[in-house]
Amino acid sequence: MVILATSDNEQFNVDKEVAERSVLIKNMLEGENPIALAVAFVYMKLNGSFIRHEDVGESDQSIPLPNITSPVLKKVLEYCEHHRGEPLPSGDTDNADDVRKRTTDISEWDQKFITVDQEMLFEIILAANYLDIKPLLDVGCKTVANMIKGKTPEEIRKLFNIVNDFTPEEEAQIKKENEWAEDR
Amino acid sequence: MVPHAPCKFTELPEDILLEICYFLDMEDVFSLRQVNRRVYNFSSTRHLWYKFTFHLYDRVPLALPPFRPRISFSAEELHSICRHGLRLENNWRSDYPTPYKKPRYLELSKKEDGVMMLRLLPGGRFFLVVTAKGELTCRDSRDGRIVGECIHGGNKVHSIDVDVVEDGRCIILAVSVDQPRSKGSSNTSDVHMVHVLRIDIIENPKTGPRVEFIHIMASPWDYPWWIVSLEGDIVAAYSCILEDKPLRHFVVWIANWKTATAAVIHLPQGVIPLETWPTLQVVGGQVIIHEERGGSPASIVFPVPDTLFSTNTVDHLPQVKITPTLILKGDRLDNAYQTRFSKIWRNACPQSAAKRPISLFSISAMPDSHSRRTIKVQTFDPFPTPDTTKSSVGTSRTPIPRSKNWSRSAIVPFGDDGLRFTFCLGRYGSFPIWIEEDGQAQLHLMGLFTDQKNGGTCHVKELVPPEGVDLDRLHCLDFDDAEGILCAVTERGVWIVEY
Repeated sequence: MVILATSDNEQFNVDKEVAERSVLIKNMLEGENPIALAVAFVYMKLNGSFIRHEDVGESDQSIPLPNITSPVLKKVLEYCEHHRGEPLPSGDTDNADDVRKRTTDISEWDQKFITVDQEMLFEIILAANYLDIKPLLDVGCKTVANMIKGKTPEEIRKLFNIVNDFTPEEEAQIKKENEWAEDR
Repeated sequence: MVPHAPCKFTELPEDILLEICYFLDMEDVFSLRQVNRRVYNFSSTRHLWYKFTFHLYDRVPLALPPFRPRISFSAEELHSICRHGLRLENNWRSDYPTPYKKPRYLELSKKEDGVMMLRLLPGGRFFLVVTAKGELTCRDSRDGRIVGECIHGGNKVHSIDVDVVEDGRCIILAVSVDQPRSKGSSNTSDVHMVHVLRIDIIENPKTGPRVEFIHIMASPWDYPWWIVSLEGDIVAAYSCILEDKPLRHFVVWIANWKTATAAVIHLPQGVIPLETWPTLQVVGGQVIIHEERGGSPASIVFPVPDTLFSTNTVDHLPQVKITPTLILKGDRLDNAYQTRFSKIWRNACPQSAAKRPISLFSISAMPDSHSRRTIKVQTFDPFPTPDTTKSSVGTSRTPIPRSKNWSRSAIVPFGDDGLRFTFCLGRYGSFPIWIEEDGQAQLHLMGLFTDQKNGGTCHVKELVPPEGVDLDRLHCLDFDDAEGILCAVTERGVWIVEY
């Protein structure tokens, strides 16, 4: 078992196999990632934690996740639990052909899982990015992309509650340089 | 505990915003850029536009300026290339694709005596014109001025092909010609040559650009080289006696112009009984020969041999025997449907040439009882794996994606001396264009748009012909589908139309 501690000081007892869906945690447990260890160590120092960094690999000590709140971690763990045992994606995600094959299709379970309010969606994305859970990050990003698709700039602003901070001149200029379907 | 700040879209870190953009269609990125300052700034990164230009956007070919390596493009240039591509796609998608600018008519400085071929050079700034007498000139598409002449010594040109090589820095031309033998030679028949030349464009701010043809290599033969094809370093051509059925003396010349090596290839009789007017193309290091026969085309493919021989050291090239792979066997030739003309091209998406499927554009020679000819486009996998060839033994063809197979019966204008070359495929073949006639003898400019966004469905579009252009007077068309530039020759001038 692995103990994960959230920023709001909740502790989660998680199967090692489930926790290791996170490449960050996996590397920490394997002691392979000196940066992750150092980050954890510095954080613990700041937090006044009594854990020394060589203890991180020990199973009865908790791993602090300073960027993640308990409701978010709960969701993330739900995802990891569902997908446990599946092969982890290889590191080579920059491959051009993989990129081209990317679709915004999301599996039924993932779709249901990611049907959350916007704030939670972004929190899940940030957590997946921090914990390095690529498939979850993709599900989150695809969901956001699907929300944006086919919308006008004004509709996107409304969707995400974005304030238009361009001056009218700037806006006209930017509209012009991004217009591709001119009326003729 | 720091109170938890509400999370907003625009506060996501840039790497995540980029990840999201990679799942968007390009038009959505153009919309997203306009929402606010932060998103605008992050979406101006070169990385984003580089990825769209070279990896993500494959719906229409993008107009990359030639003579420029990929690395040299700035974010602004890539953004504008993408925008141009999207605009062009939008035009093709519309019911009546319309010229974007007012078309230009260029009076030719010298009256052309029967223009036989026309070829836009990549980028659309220059074009090559071949006359019935075999003169090959290069002209500026802004004013029609001759900027260079290719002196090849021949009096008839059979075929030309052009490719941009060296990461876009260099244009190579292959041209096959008939050449009279030098005086005093006991042999009175013509010698037939393939010339490979480099096209150099020399800019001069005072006198304007000049184009030079620099000789690289040549190959003489006893029979005409009917079709030449060029891709990257590899040039191929075939020769045979077209009057004989099946075709006799069928040989393929394959050369690597970079290393000045070549070989002549004999294909064993019986692999495919070529009978009509096969077409040949080098694609992805392989040579495809295709014969269009209406319902059941025949195609073979073979790789460029590992060993080619230096043309500097041997007088007579060694002949190499190769057993090609059969892609499409073809049925018994039915004269009623035999096609006189077919062209091969690699499909849209210039990004990964080797993996693109092959399409064939063909026009049948024999019209049906209503004077209609069949215009056909077929798409298939050019490089069958052992699996696909095994499964095709019984049916003698590889599975062809049906959505891409398309045919249309139309009246295609024929001139006094046969088929007028009023059809072309485009540099990347993403938008074939041709002229057809309706029942009232009216001519129409047609195009075939393959909608990659909707699973590759094909739509025939009537293009709005440029004002003042009499389609009946056009001899040859060529089209750069990346630039959206159509070039059309009449007896006295050239139309340049930008879609």
